Amino acid sequence: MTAFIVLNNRRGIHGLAGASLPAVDAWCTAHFGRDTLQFCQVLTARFNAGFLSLRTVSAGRLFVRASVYQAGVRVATIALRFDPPQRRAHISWLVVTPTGRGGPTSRHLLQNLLLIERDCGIARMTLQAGLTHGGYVWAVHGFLPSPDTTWPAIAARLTTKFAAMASSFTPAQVAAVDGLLRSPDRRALRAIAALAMPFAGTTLGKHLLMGESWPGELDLSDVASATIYLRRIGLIP
Amino acid sequence: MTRKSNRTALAFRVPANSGPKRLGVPFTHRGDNRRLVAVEEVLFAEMGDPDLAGAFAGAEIDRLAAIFGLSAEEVAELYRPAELKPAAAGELHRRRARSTRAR
Repeated sequence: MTAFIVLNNRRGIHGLAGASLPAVDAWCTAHFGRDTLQFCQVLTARFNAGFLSLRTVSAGRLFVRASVYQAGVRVATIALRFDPPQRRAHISWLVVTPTGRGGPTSRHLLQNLLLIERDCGIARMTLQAGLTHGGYVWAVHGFLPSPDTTWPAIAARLTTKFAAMASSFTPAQVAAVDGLLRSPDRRALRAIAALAMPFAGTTLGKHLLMGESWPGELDLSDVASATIYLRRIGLIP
Repeated sequence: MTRKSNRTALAFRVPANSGPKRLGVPFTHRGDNRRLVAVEEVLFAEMGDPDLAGAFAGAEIDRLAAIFGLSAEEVAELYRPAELKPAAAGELHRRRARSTRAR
Protein backbone atom coordinates (compact mmCIF):
# COMPACT_ATOMS: atom_id res chain seq x y z
CA MET A 1 0.00 0.00 0.00
CA THR A 2 2.32 2.71 -1.24
CA ALA A 3 1.83 6.13 -2.78
CA PHE A 4 4.13 7.16 -5.60
CA ILE A 5 4.97 10.76 -6.41
CA VAL A 6 7.07 12.01 -9.30
CA LEU A 7 8.14 15.64 -9.41
CA ASN A 8 9.77 17.64 -12.13
CA ASN A 9 10.64 20.77 -10.17
CA ARG A 10 12.06 22.59 -13.17
CA ARG A 11 8.92 22.29 -15.26
CA GLY A 12 6.52 22.30 -12.35
CA ILE A 13 5.06 18.96 -13.38
CA HIS A 14 4.07 16.31 -10.91
CA GLY A 15 2.26 13.01 -10.80
CA LEU A 16 0.67 11.15 -7.93
CA ALA A 17 -0.50 7.56 -7.82
CA GLY A 18 -1.33 4.72 -5.49
CA ALA A 19 -4.39 3.59 -3.60
CA SER A 20 -2.81 4.62 -0.29
CA LEU A 21 -2.43 8.22 -1.41
CA PRO A 22 -5.44 9.37 0.68
CA ALA A 23 -3.85 7.84 3.81
CA VAL A 24 -0.51 9.50 3.07
CA ASP A 25 -2.27 12.77 2.34
CA ALA A 26 -4.11 12.54 5.66
CA TRP A 27 -0.78 11.88 7.43
CA CYS A 28 0.88 14.88 5.77
CA THR A 29 -2.05 17.16 6.59
CA ALA A 30 -2.21 16.00 10.19
CA HIS A 31 1.51 16.04 10.98
CA PHE A 32 3.14 18.28 8.39
CA GLY A 33 0.30 20.78 8.03
CA ARG A 34 0.37 20.60 4.23
CA ASP A 35 -0.51 17.99 1.61
CA THR A 36 1.57 15.18 0.14
CA LEU A 37 2.69 17.20 -2.85
CA GLN A 38 4.02 20.00 -0.66
CA PHE A 39 5.76 17.44 1.57
CA CYS A 40 7.53 16.02 -1.47
CA GLN A 41 8.37 19.47 -2.82
CA VAL A 42 10.08 20.43 0.44
CA LEU A 43 12.06 17.19 0.55
CA THR A 44 13.24 17.65 -3.05
CA ALA A 45 13.74 21.43 -2.97
CA ARG A 46 16.79 22.60 -4.96
CA PHE A 47 16.83 19.35 -6.93
CA ASN A 48 15.58 19.20 -10.50
CA ALA A 49 13.38 16.19 -9.93
CA GLY A 50 12.36 13.58 -7.42
CA PHE A 51 10.71 10.23 -7.24
CA LEU A 52 9.19 9.33 -3.91
CA SER A 53 7.33 6.38 -2.49
CA LEU A 54 5.51 6.96 0.77
CA ARG A 55 3.66 4.56 3.01
CA THR A 56 1.88 5.06 6.28
CA VAL A 57 2.65 2.41 8.85
CA SER A 58 1.20 1.71 12.24
CA ALA A 59 0.95 4.26 15.04
CA GLY A 60 1.07 7.36 12.87
CA ARG A 61 4.40 6.68 11.23
CA LEU A 62 5.31 7.45 7.64
CA PHE A 63 7.94 5.59 5.68
CA VAL A 64 9.57 7.59 2.87
CA ARG A 65 11.91 6.50 0.14
CA ALA A 66 13.07 9.26 -2.17
CA SER A 67 15.42 9.58 -5.10
CA VAL A 68 16.50 13.02 -6.21
CA TYR A 69 17.77 13.98 -9.64
CA GLN A 70 19.88 16.77 -11.09
CA ALA A 71 19.96 17.28 -14.85
CA GLY A 72 18.21 13.97 -15.37
CA VAL A 73 20.72 11.99 -13.36
CA ARG A 74 19.92 10.48 -9.99
CA VAL A 75 22.24 11.97 -7.39
CA ALA A 76 20.95 10.50 -4.12
CA THR A 77 18.46 8.15 -2.53
CA ILE A 78 17.22 8.35 1.04
CA ALA A 79 15.01 6.08 3.12
CA LEU A 80 13.64 7.20 6.44
CA ARG A 81 10.77 6.88 8.84
CA PHE A 82 8.92 9.76 10.46
CA ASP A 83 7.30 9.12 13.80
CA PRO A 84 5.66 12.36 14.98
CA PRO A 85 3.88 10.77 17.99
CA GLN A 86 7.35 9.89 19.33
CA ARG A 87 8.79 13.14 17.89
CA ARG A 88 11.38 11.01 16.15
CA ALA A 89 12.74 10.44 12.64
CA HIS A 90 14.91 7.45 11.81
CA ILE A 91 17.28 7.59 8.84
CA SER A 92 17.54 4.05 7.48
CA TRP A 93 19.97 4.82 4.71
CA LEU A 94 21.19 7.67 2.57
CA VAL A 95 23.31 7.06 -0.48
CA VAL A 96 24.80 9.41 -3.03
CA THR A 97 25.83 8.53 -6.56
CA PRO A 98 29.33 9.50 -7.70
CA THR A 99 27.70 12.31 -9.71
CA GLY A 100 26.40 13.82 -6.51
CA ARG A 101 29.71 13.73 -4.67
CA GLY A 102 31.81 16.81 -4.13
CA GLY A 103 28.75 19.02 -4.45
CA PRO A 104 26.07 20.18 -2.07
CA THR A 105 23.83 17.12 -2.61
CA SER A 106 24.11 15.56 0.83
CA ARG A 107 23.88 18.88 2.66
CA HIS A 108 20.88 20.02 0.66
CA LEU A 109 19.09 16.75 1.37
CA LEU A 110 19.85 17.00 5.09
CA GLN A 111 18.73 20.64 5.10
CA ASN A 112 15.45 19.75 3.34
CA LEU A 113 14.95 16.93 5.79
CA LEU A 114 15.42 19.31 8.69
CA LEU A 115 12.68 21.60 7.35
CA ILE A 116 10.24 18.69 7.30
CA GLU A 117 11.31 17.57 10.75
CA ARG A 118 10.77 21.06 12.09
CA ASP A 119 7.24 21.24 10.68
CA CYS A 120 6.41 17.72 11.88
CA GLY A 121 7.58 18.54 15.40
CA ILE A 122 10.43 16.03 15.21
CA ALA A 123 12.90 16.59 18.04
CA ARG A 124 15.09 13.53 17.69
CA MET A 125 16.84 11.89 14.76
CA THR A 126 18.13 8.36 15.08
CA LEU A 127 20.32 6.16 12.92
CA GLN A 128 22.82 3.35 13.10
CA ALA A 129 26.27 4.89 12.78
CA GLY A 130 28.37 2.36 10.95
CA LEU A 131 30.00 1.41 7.68
CA THR A 132 33.58 2.56 7.17
CA HIS A 133 33.19 6.18 8.15
CA GLY A 134 29.86 6.44 9.96
CA GLY A 135 31.22 5.83 13.46
CA TYR A 136 33.27 9.03 13.18
CA VAL A 137 31.15 11.08 10.78
CA TRP A 138 27.94 10.99 12.81
CA ALA A 139 29.82 11.75 16.03
CA VAL A 140 31.16 14.98 14.56
CA HIS A 141 27.67 15.75 13.27
CA GLY A 142 26.46 15.89 16.86
CA PHE A 143 24.99 12.38 17.23
CA LEU A 144 25.48 10.57 20.52
CA PRO A 145 25.07 6.90 21.46
CA SER A 146 21.49 6.00 22.28
CA PRO A 147 20.34 4.76 24.68
CA ASP A 148 22.94 5.98 27.18
CA THR A 149 23.56 2.41 28.27
CA THR A 150 25.26 1.62 24.94
CA TRP A 151 28.17 3.96 25.71
CA PRO A 152 30.07 1.68 28.15
CA ALA A 153 30.30 -1.07 25.53
CA ILE A 154 31.53 1.40 22.89
CA ALA A 155 34.03 2.82 25.39
CA ALA A 156 35.30 -0.68 26.16
CA ARG A 157 35.99 -1.32 22.47
CA LEU A 158 37.72 2.05 22.11
CA THR A 159 39.79 1.38 25.24
CA THR A 160 41.07 -1.86 23.72
CA LYS A 161 41.90 -0.08 20.47
CA PHE A 162 43.65 2.76 22.27
CA ALA A 163 45.69 0.42 24.47
CA ALA A 164 47.38 -0.94 21.36
CA MET A 165 48.56 2.51 20.30
CA ALA A 166 49.10 4.20 23.67
CA SER A 167 52.88 3.96 23.35
CA SER A 168 52.72 6.62 20.61
CA PHE A 169 51.50 9.25 23.06
CA THR A 170 52.81 11.03 26.13
CA PRO A 171 51.81 9.73 29.58
CA ALA A 172 49.72 12.88 30.11
CA GLN A 173 47.82 12.29 26.87
CA VAL A 174 47.27 8.61 27.66
CA ALA A 175 45.96 9.46 31.14
CA ALA A 176 43.56 12.09 29.76
CA VAL A 177 42.21 9.82 27.01
CA ASP A 178 41.80 6.94 29.49
CA GLY A 179 39.91 9.31 31.76
CA LEU A 180 37.50 10.18 28.94
CA LEU A 181 36.98 6.52 28.09
CA ARG A 182 36.22 5.71 31.73
CA SER A 183 33.57 8.43 31.96
CA PRO A 184 29.98 7.14 32.15
CA ASP A 185 28.82 10.27 30.30
CA ARG A 186 28.01 9.41 26.67
CA ARG A 187 29.21 12.86 25.59
CA ALA A 188 32.69 11.44 26.06
CA LEU A 189 32.21 10.00 22.55
CA ARG A 190 32.22 13.58 21.26
CA ALA A 191 35.34 14.36 23.29
CA ILE A 192 36.99 11.27 21.79
CA ALA A 193 35.97 12.22 18.23
CA ALA A 194 37.54 15.64 18.73
CA LEU A 195 40.96 14.26 19.77
CA ALA A 196 43.38 16.06 17.49
CA MET A 197 46.67 14.31 18.20
CA PRO A 198 48.21 13.13 14.91
CA PHE A 199 48.17 9.37 14.46
CA ALA A 200 48.58 7.20 11.36
CA GLY A 201 48.19 10.14 9.00
CA THR A 202 45.01 11.37 10.62
CA THR A 203 43.83 12.39 14.07
CA LEU A 204 43.49 9.99 16.98
CA GLY A 205 39.76 10.74 17.18
CA LYS A 206 39.14 9.77 13.56
CA HIS A 207 41.38 6.74 13.84
CA LEU A 208 39.60 5.40 16.92
CA LEU A 209 36.07 5.87 15.60
CA MET A 210 36.52 4.82 11.99
CA GLY A 211 34.92 1.42 11.45
CA GLU A 212 32.98 1.62 14.72
CA SER A 213 29.26 0.95 14.80
CA TRP A 214 26.85 2.39 17.34
CA PRO A 215 23.18 3.32 17.56
CA GLY A 216 23.03 7.10 17.48
CA GLU A 217 20.60 9.90 18.14
CA LEU A 218 20.64 13.63 17.60
CA ASP A 219 18.54 15.53 20.11
CA LEU A 220 17.55 18.72 18.32
CA SER A 221 16.31 20.21 21.59
CA ASP A 222 19.86 20.00 22.97
CA VAL A 223 21.51 23.28 22.01
CA ALA A 224 25.05 21.89 21.83
CA SER A 225 24.07 18.93 19.61
CA ALA A 226 21.81 21.04 17.39
CA THR A 227 24.52 23.69 16.94
CA ILE A 228 27.07 21.10 15.89
CA TYR A 229 24.61 19.57 13.42
CA LEU A 230 23.46 22.88 11.94
CA ARG A 231 27.05 23.96 11.44
CA ARG A 232 27.98 20.67 9.78
CA ILE A 233 25.09 20.72 7.32
CA GLY A 234 25.90 24.29 6.41
CA LEU A 235 22.99 26.16 7.98
CA ILE A 236 25.14 28.24 10.31
CA PRO A 237 28.75 29.36 9.83
CA MET B 1 -3.25 29.83 -33.06
CA THR B 2 -2.90 26.79 -30.92
CA ARG B 3 -2.63 27.20 -27.22
CA LYS B 4 -0.02 25.19 -25.41
CA SER B 5 -1.31 22.93 -22.70
CA ASN B 6 -0.57 24.31 -19.25
CA ARG B 7 -1.14 21.21 -17.23
CA THR B 8 1.08 20.89 -14.22
CA ALA B 9 -0.30 17.60 -12.98
CA LEU B 10 -0.13 14.28 -14.73
CA ALA B 11 -2.82 11.75 -14.02
CA PHE B 12 -1.68 8.24 -13.28
CA ARG B 13 -3.98 5.35 -12.65
CA VAL B 14 -1.99 2.39 -11.40
CA PRO B 15 -2.68 -0.27 -8.78
CA ALA B 16 -1.25 0.57 -5.37
CA ASN B 17 1.22 -2.29 -5.38
CA SER B 18 2.50 -1.86 -8.90
CA GLY B 19 6.19 -1.23 -9.38
CA PRO B 20 7.36 2.35 -9.61
CA LYS B 21 8.80 1.63 -13.06
CA ARG B 22 5.28 2.03 -14.39
CA LEU B 23 5.63 5.74 -13.83
CA GLY B 24 8.51 5.79 -16.25
CA VAL B 25 11.12 6.66 -13.64
CA PRO B 26 13.92 4.22 -12.95
CA PHE B 27 14.06 3.30 -9.28
CA THR B 28 16.29 0.32 -9.09
CA HIS B 29 18.30 0.07 -5.93
CA ARG B 30 19.54 -3.48 -5.76
CA GLY B 31 20.74 -3.56 -9.35
CA ASP B 32 23.13 -0.63 -9.18
CA ASN B 33 24.54 -0.70 -5.67
CA ARG B 34 28.04 -0.35 -7.02
CA ARG B 35 27.28 3.15 -8.22
CA LEU B 36 25.94 4.30 -4.85
CA VAL B 37 28.09 5.71 -2.09
CA ALA B 38 26.99 5.92 1.54
CA VAL B 39 26.47 9.51 2.60
CA GLU B 40 28.88 8.95 5.48
CA GLU B 41 31.66 8.58 2.95
CA VAL B 42 30.60 11.74 1.14
CA LEU B 43 30.43 13.75 4.35
CA PHE B 44 33.77 12.36 5.41
CA ALA B 45 35.32 13.42 2.11
CA GLU B 46 33.90 16.89 2.63
CA MET B 47 35.53 17.01 6.06
CA GLY B 48 38.89 16.58 4.37
CA ASP B 49 38.51 20.20 3.35
CA PRO B 50 41.03 22.27 5.36
CA ASP B 51 38.23 24.61 6.47
CA LEU B 52 36.43 21.71 8.09
CA ALA B 53 39.46 19.88 9.43
CA GLY B 54 38.74 20.63 13.08
CA ALA B 55 36.16 18.20 14.41
CA PHE B 56 34.44 20.83 16.57
CA ALA B 57 34.50 24.58 17.05
CA GLY B 58 36.66 25.97 19.87
CA ALA B 59 33.60 26.76 21.97
CA GLU B 60 32.49 23.14 21.84
CA ILE B 61 35.95 21.96 22.87
CA ASP B 62 35.84 24.34 25.83
CA ARG B 63 32.40 23.03 26.75
CA LEU B 64 33.61 19.42 26.62
CA ALA B 65 36.64 20.36 28.70
CA ALA B 66 34.34 21.85 31.35
CA ILE B 67 32.10 18.75 31.34
CA PHE B 68 35.00 16.34 31.74
CA GLY B 69 37.12 18.54 33.99
CA LEU B 70 40.07 18.80 31.63
CA SER B 71 42.76 21.30 32.57
CA ALA B 72 44.08 23.89 30.10
CA GLU B 73 47.22 21.77 29.70
CA GLU B 74 45.16 18.66 28.90
CA VAL B 75 43.08 20.61 26.37
CA ALA B 76 46.29 21.79 24.73
CA GLU B 77 47.67 18.23 24.71
CA LEU B 78 44.52 16.61 23.30
CA TYR B 79 42.84 19.19 21.11
CA ARG B 80 45.32 21.84 20.05
CA PRO B 81 48.46 20.06 18.93
CA ALA B 82 50.70 21.25 16.11
CA GLU B 83 48.79 21.45 12.85
CA LEU B 84 48.56 18.26 10.83
CA LYS B 85 50.59 19.09 7.76
CA PRO B 86 52.65 17.02 5.34
CA ALA B 87 56.35 17.57 6.09
CA ALA B 88 57.16 18.62 2.52
CA ALA B 89 54.53 21.36 2.58
CA GLY B 90 55.94 22.71 5.84
CA GLU B 91 59.47 22.86 4.42
CA LEU B 92 58.32 24.70 1.32
CA HIS B 93 56.52 27.28 3.44
CA ARG B 94 59.61 27.98 5.59
CA ARG B 95 61.88 28.36 2.55
CA ARG B 96 59.51 30.93 1.09
CA ALA B 97 59.55 32.91 4.32
CA ARG B 98 63.37 33.04 4.39
CA SER B 99 63.63 34.18 0.78
CA THR B 100 61.20 37.02 1.44
CA ARG B 101 63.25 38.29 4.36
CA ALA B 102 66.50 38.16 2.33
CA ARG B 103 65.10 40.71 -0.09
